[in-house]
Amino acid sequence: MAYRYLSDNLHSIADRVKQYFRAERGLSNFRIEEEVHKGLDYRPTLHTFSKDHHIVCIDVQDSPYSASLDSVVLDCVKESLPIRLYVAYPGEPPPQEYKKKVDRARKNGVGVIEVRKDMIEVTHEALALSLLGVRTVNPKRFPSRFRGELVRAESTFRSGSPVEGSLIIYKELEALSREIVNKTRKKGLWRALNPGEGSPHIKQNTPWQRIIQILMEHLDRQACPALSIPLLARVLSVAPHRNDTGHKITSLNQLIKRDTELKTRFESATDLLLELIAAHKTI
Amino acid sequence: MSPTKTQIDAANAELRDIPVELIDRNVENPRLIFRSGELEELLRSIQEYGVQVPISVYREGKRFILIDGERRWRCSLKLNKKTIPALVQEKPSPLSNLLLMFNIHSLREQWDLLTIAAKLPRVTELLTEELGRRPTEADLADKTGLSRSTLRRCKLLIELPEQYREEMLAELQRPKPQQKLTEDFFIEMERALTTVSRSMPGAIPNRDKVRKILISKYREGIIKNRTDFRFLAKIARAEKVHVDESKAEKVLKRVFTQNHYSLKEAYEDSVSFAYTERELATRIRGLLEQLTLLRANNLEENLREPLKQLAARISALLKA
Repeated sequence: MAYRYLSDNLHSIADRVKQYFRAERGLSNFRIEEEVHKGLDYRPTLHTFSKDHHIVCIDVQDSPYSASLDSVVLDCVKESLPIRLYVAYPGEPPPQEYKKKVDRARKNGVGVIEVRKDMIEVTHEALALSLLGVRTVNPKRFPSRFRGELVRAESTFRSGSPVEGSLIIYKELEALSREIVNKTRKKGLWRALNPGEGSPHIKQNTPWQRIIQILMEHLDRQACPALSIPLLARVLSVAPHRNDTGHKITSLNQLIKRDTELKTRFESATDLLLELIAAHKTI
Repeated sequence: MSPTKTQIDAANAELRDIPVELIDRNVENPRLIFRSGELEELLRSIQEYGVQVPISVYREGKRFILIDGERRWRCSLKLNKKTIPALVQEKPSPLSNLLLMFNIHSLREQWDLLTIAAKLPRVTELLTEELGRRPTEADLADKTGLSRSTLRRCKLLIELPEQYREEMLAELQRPKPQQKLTEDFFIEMERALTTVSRSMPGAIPNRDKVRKILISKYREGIIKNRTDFRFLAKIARAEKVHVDESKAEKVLKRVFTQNHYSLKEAYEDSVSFAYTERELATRIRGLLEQLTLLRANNLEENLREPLKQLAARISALLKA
């Protein structure tokens, strides 16, 4: 099908970008100005599907960003559409307000491709827009020792690796849970379930879930009211997700579902970490 | 446009939402260029408010052909709209089809002249069939809604060799501020060259060679403004200001062969002084007419002093 919206002078740019993606990224079967998803009120110039079930969209324009893409990004975030959106534009002569537009593209997770007479350069990569809507983590709300990992987790999540981003938070939660177990035990805040019975032995490789269960059973809750049963139950409920993050995605719908779940899990795990830190301080 | 059989009955048009995918562009649409920056503005408006003004189409089998609203249709496609409000009209005759678009668009917005020019031979052909004779400039102006001066400008563009029309078309695709070799550039250049050819044919042995050198001078900034071409016409009309024509022709030949010789320099080297003198003479005659209206007995004090200065300067000039 031929271009129906794209201005004639940009047809060659679109054709060259198509060839570039085929040669450099192994992407082919690009569709021209067709519907991407029924939840998206925009037809990019080109789109195709990657092996990891993301939709790669390339919109060809005469500058690196246009205001109409704001609502496209918003729709992708709202609908959790796993779209990587690039804008390809002719680099010669340099477009007006270049820096402002590139900054806006970057802020909205939109990739930028500069097409010159003799070269094509991906100035910056597109993020999966389904993940862009994840709530921003404010590191200042956390003690300084957690901040570095939190920033890393968020940037890993947003840059297209939500599983790995979430895993960083789960690891912090697990480490803190173990710290709480050791600290409460050392401080004699555990109670025997039966008279004369000693506290259970916890090894370094005792599973995270198991140590939370032990903590829930043995903790003297009157001595540690901040470590409430609901709080520990929430930690217990996220523990299985730590190893539940690497399942293979086989379809676009599965990817949409997974990204929606991961966004919620990432945000609630971050909230949980903050609450657990607060409880830890009271011990 | 005067009422003729080329008009169609718009009263019978039916307003309805029709599927965007069932619409095809009209091959007769003179508008060829849809700049992306200009489409983007409309796109944002439709994104926010929807299509507020119905497009016009006619039915062709199971599909619809656009009469008016190609930009709205294109934007609706881009925004993945399923339907668009449309006035479905009767199928017009080929001439009505073309003239409808001319009249709808030329009255509402500024089209690129070259694209209009490209369709005028087709209008002329269809009108010749209808009228039984070749249409005059007045006929064309009446039917298309274009002014006669616009038609003349179009004629200059149509008569350009194809390579320049293609170059102009490529240039028109760019955003307006980035365009250099515009329609106005070619119109100014062609008008000047036509005047030179008429007044001093010997100065232009090969018009195409001359065009090339002038375009190159413009690109390199030796010709700074497209209105500089008016200097060429003034040089070519040297005899009107009593300047030796052979001197003027020599200067023109230099302009058309030397890469770094600008039009302004050529003007200053040949006829500039004569034109300044002529202008001064015209002003003096005007001043004289006004002075004859003044009476010596009621001359205001604030006029006496400048008049004395003028008299002294004139007297000094005439004595020399």
